[in-house]
Amino acid sequence: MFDEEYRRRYVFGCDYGTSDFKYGPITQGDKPLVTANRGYFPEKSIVSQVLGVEKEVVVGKDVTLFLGAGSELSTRLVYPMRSGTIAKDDERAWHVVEELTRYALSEFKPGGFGFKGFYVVAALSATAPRYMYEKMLNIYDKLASEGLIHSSTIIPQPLAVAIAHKQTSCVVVESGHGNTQVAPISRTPIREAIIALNRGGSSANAITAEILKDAGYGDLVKEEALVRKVKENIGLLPLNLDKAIGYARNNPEEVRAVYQPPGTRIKIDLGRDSWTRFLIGEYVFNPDHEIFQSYYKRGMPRPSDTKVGDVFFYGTLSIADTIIQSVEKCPTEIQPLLYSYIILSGGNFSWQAPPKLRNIAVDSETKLMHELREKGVENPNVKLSSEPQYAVWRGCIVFGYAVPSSYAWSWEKMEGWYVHRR
Amino acid sequence: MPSRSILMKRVEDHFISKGYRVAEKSSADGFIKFRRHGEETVVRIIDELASRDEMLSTIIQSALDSGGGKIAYVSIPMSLVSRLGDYAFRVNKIGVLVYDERDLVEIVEGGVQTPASEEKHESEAAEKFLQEKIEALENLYTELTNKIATIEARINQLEKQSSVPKQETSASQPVETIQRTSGRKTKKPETLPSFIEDNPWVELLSNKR
Repeated sequence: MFDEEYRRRYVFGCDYGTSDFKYGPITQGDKPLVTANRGYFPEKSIVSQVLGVEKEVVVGKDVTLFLGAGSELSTRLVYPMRSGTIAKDDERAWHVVEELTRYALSEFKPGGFGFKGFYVVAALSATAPRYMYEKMLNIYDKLASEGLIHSSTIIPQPLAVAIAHKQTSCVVVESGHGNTQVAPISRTPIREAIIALNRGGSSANAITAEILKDAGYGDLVKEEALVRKVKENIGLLPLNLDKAIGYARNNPEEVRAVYQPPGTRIKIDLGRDSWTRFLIGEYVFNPDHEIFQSYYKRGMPRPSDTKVGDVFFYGTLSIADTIIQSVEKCPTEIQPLLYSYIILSGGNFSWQAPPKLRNIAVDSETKLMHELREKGVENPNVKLSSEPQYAVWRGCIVFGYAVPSSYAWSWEKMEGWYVHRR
Repeated sequence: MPSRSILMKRVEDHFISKGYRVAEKSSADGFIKFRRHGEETVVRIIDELASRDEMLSTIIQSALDSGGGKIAYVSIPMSLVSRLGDYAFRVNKIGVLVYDERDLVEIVEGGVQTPASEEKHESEAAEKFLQEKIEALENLYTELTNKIATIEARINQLEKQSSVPKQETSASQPVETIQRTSGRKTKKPETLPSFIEDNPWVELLSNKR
């Protein structure tokens, strides 16, 4: 009884996202704290001067002290989860994960008496290979010996999203920077039906960069952050690409895109090429459309089929086809239930739908429902996660709050509480 | 749990390290009186196996010490403080020392009840103060009694549940049993985030075995 009360009081969620690390205990409320999921490996002398302590890697707010180091930045700044997974031997990436976790837990460690460590629930990509679980638990072992962790568990991010949305039967489509996971859930993730795509927000950035080059702004594409802003501000998602392009050619002024990054003199005007705005959104959903072949021929890398650990990642399979393939791997009886609640999570699904382009440019929910219906799915229901950046952390907190302390970790099931030795 | 003599030694060390000296002590009665710069501090010890009456009596004595112008402390086992909380002690300026097998930690600092230490007050003010003190003690007593009653009720309920034969629960009243079990498991703390409330996963995950 006391253990249960203690666990509920000290549940701590860790969401290792591709760009941000979201963390905090159950007492944090509805929103976790957010810090960039990155670490900076400085020259020892700089650290000792600025922080007064010798540290191999700097994480959290202090990283900003080291930005602006010019050409060294790319080698010294490490984003461990950039592609959703960390290579087994990528020591620097694992070091960042360890330091970030230590940083987060230490921030909330209560002083005084009676604290025996947090019950940590971490979320990893559904496609994370087993060695990532082993590495994470090794790191947690180390942190447990420092009194920060009592027990820990790791859950797939799509499960956390489903939990946060209070849905026990659904399909979660989670799209990050480097990859996309489609995971059917029926009271538990149906692991054999999870399908992963080798593309995410970075692929949409790539097509945006090609469009900018073709429009005469090739000098701007070296800055990834600027390309991302252009994507977010001028990218459109067509309901039907061919019809949208036809509309744009007949009504060029209606779809004309001009974007000026705030605080700069740069002005990007796509002019006659404004129809290409529709390619950006379409590429996320269907990169195999014939219109993209010319870009591939000119050197833009095609998202390739690949294998990481035991997981196969498809390159150009459309989102609708991926969902259908995934659901059809599940028992027939639950398939209608799964189609009746599809959750889209991740910034890759946030597309503006200007009122003047009604039924031409749409949001992700409308697009996907349209495509699923066209492929014969009856009554699909698609929801865009309202606060996708917090959903995984919330799911972690609910999981830690509810699962009894006596439910021990099982490598077979890949779930349960892993009790660390202290 | 440590013996009373070991516990008293720890209490002594704790206060001596803060510059106090022992003025009087009784292992049988479980108290130690310290002095420092003219101020008097009384620490009373509650054993882990103390009865409800013994516990209340000790706490009330400490409250009276505090009301009498002394700095009062109670030393209580960890299992007790986690059930009672420390709020009532804080508002009454009664210090709390928590102990387990290895450690003794001060979680609430004791304080002087200023009005009681000032004998210059007129008799009306003193009377008012005493009335407030009695009222505070009564509230503290009621609060503690309620908490103990709740704990006892929960223990009784758990004992009843564990003593019910399996055949009865599974065969005769399945619906009622599920409801009772789920009610206990999904009981929420006071400050529960909104995304946990009415979340069907809480019930589902609570049944993991």
